[in-house]
Amino acid sequence: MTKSLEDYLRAVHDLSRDSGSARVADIARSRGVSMASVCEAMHRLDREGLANHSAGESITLTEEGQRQALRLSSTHEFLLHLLRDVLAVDPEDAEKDACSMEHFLHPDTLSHLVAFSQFVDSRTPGGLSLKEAFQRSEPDGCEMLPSPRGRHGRWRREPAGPCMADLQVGSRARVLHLHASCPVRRRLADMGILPGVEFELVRRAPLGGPVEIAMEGFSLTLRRGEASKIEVEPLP
Amino acid sequence: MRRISVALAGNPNTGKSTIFNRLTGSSACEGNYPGVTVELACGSRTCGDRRLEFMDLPGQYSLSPASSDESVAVRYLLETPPDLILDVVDAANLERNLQLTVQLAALGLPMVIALNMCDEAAAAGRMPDPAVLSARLGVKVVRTIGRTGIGLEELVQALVEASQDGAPPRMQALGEDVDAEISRIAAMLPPLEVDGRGIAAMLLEGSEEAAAAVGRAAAGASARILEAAGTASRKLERLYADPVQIVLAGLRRGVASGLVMESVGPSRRRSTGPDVTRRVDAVLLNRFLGVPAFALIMYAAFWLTFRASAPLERLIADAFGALAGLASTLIPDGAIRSLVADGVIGGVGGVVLFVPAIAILFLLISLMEDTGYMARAAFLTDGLMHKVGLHGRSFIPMILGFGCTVPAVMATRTLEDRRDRLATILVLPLLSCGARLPGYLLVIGAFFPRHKALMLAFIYSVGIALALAAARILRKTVLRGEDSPFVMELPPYRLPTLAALARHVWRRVRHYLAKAGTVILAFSIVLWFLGYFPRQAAGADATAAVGGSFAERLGHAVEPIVRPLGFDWRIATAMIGAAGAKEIFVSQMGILTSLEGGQGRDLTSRMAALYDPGTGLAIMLFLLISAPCLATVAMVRRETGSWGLAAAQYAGLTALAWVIAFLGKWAFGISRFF
Repeated sequence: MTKSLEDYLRAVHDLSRDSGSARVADIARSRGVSMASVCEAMHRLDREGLANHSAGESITLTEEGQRQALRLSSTHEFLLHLLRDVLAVDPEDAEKDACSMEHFLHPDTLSHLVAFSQFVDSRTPGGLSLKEAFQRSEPDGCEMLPSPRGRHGRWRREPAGPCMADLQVGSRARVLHLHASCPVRRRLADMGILPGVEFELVRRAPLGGPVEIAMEGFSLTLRRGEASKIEVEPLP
Repeated sequence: MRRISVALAGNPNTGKSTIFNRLTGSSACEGNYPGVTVELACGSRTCGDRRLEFMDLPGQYSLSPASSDESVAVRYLLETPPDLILDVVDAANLERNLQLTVQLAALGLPMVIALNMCDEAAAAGRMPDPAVLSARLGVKVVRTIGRTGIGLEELVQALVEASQDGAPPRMQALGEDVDAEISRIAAMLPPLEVDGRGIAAMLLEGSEEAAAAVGRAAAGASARILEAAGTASRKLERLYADPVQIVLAGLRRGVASGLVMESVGPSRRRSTGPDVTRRVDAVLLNRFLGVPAFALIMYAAFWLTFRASAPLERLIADAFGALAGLASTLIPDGAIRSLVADGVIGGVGGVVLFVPAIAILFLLISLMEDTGYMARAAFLTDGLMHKVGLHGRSFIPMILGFGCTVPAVMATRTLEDRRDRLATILVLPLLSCGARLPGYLLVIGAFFPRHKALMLAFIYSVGIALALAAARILRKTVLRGEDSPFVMELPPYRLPTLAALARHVWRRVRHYLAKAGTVILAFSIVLWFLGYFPRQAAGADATAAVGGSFAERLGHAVEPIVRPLGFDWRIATAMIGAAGAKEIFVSQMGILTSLEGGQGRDLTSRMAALYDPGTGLAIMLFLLISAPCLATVAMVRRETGSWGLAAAQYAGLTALAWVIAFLGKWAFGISRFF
């Protein structure tokens, strides 16, 4: 069965579960396709012995069709759970990815994923479950993917605009974003480098050493690596 | 008598230790760079019928610690909450300091604020009004100047009153969304010794210390609470589109700047001209002048060490000479006289001789630390440190290493990454400690009288260069890994107080004298014994008195190995002794040469008569590099948890010492022809 046929099977199942009947027009509307393509698909489902389709009537699933639809539906639910609740993926992205993953995962892979999900969700005596530990952990691991959006998109490592390290000696700027990894970011924030704060780049140390910045009441030195992770807005 | 426990908390380098020392009369380490205090120190003071027990915590920028020394402070506050928090705040840097104050206030413990360094704030025209801060934060606020002790009596009074009053500070609102989440989580918490809202805020930030505190109070409910905190922080992150730590830090910062606005008035940014610190830094940290200035300052320190200590040294040498003479006239000839005159006076005296030089060198190093120049040195040299793969924070243990390797190894605890820490520990013995100084001074005095400061600077530089090279090799091979971050505060220049300088120097000299009175005395007696017995038959000529002694036999056994370095059996024996403690080299050379009937002339001229300058150079190099002393070995074992590493370091350094000393002697020989 092709991916699109599986999707139709699930659509029929969901519609007849939710509204009692599934007609070609309803399916076309729910999937945003033409009625002709729905008819074509329904014929194929009929041929496969998964649905009963005759002109003018609503579509019903055969027993085999019901079974397959249920399997697909529970796979989908599980993958959505795995992505959204365990891996803490953005719910919208999780829905989309679950929809595509459900079609191509080998049944064995799927059962392994189920076991893994149960494993990380089980509690260790007295402590956090692995799932909770993961969700509370720093988002660094996720930043390896060059994803522009999603949960960790805004924590990407590289600033898009000018960074502190690019500034001329003696110029002033305002901090926009901290792109550093989590412990550094926290340290910078605690030491007073926060979005919105203004500073002056006082000097650079020789031999590619750190930069010194002066803020209201105190001076800090940062290595150039760290300074290049701080996105700034130069001030006149 | 009622006991009141007071914890001194605050940002690094706000003068907590100075106030602590003033209040309790102790001598905890203090200096003008962040991270001086790495462990807890306690002391007490009586006031009326109350006994204030102070605990000096390592400085912290927030309650979510980034390194192990900061987590010491947080764990202390949560595990054994004190009766009072004394929040030491730098009045000249109020906004950033109050960020932590807001966090501390949320813990709900009675608090007193010391507005420290008021003189600097007043000079900058930004003196906060204590009454306003006090009203807004609901705590007593006292102006202090820790350096001079101004305001400390009022501070003690305020502490006593606050402990009677017992009122918690006013909780600062961070904003509806955050406060709602904090209250919701706080309501789930079991009863704790500190305010639940403080803990809840820490849980939102993912604090392990707070999670542990909750776990101790209610193991059963902790998973549910942590899950709720995790959900809440994700909710806030979605709301503010920023990591939760930055959200909370930003909100606290907002509260802090509001407080500054009210208590100081609107900031007059750049209204005054460049201050002293900026003007001095314009020269000392200049792009081109900075590094030469650093080199010049270090060289001047070595030069002064020699020039200023020479007259005092002569006095001490004369005193010990007279003492030895006195012993010879009082005690009848024989083993006892030899023990006292040659062993005890010769051995210990040779070491005590160098007390002035050590005191002066450490006076100068303390001067650099207390003025704030040391942090600048770290700034200037970090580029180089970075290139060899060492962490910027390795700099502080390395500076300590010039004093004594043992506390330096302990100070590596401020390094978070284990590989950074191991690399630093392994190369630390190459930074020449104070115990090796007497050996250098002896050799330089004997062989290089015309280039004293230059030779001393040279031997220290060789140590530094080898340490950096070794670190580079270690970080490229066995200890490969990513660099960890380095963010450091540059303190303004400050005038050190005489009292603080005197404390630093005295601590160092006391340590040195204690060693002379114990370990070195014991070794001197053992070595005298080895050098004196077994006695030869009467009639043997004086110069061969040591001949056939245990020391000579031991020395002769080792001699073939060190012969290529120009060492004879005497140096070999002394080097074996120096493996216990480096100063012993000097005392043993003193004993061995004086047993041979060299009394009357001082050790320096005896050395000059016995050996050539090439051998002198080899002695210095060998003393610098070889076998770290026993105390260092024990400390390396303790801090790394591995005998293997300690042994590898020992063997590696000793082998390296042989090679470098050989090359040094050879190169010196060659250079003679030019």
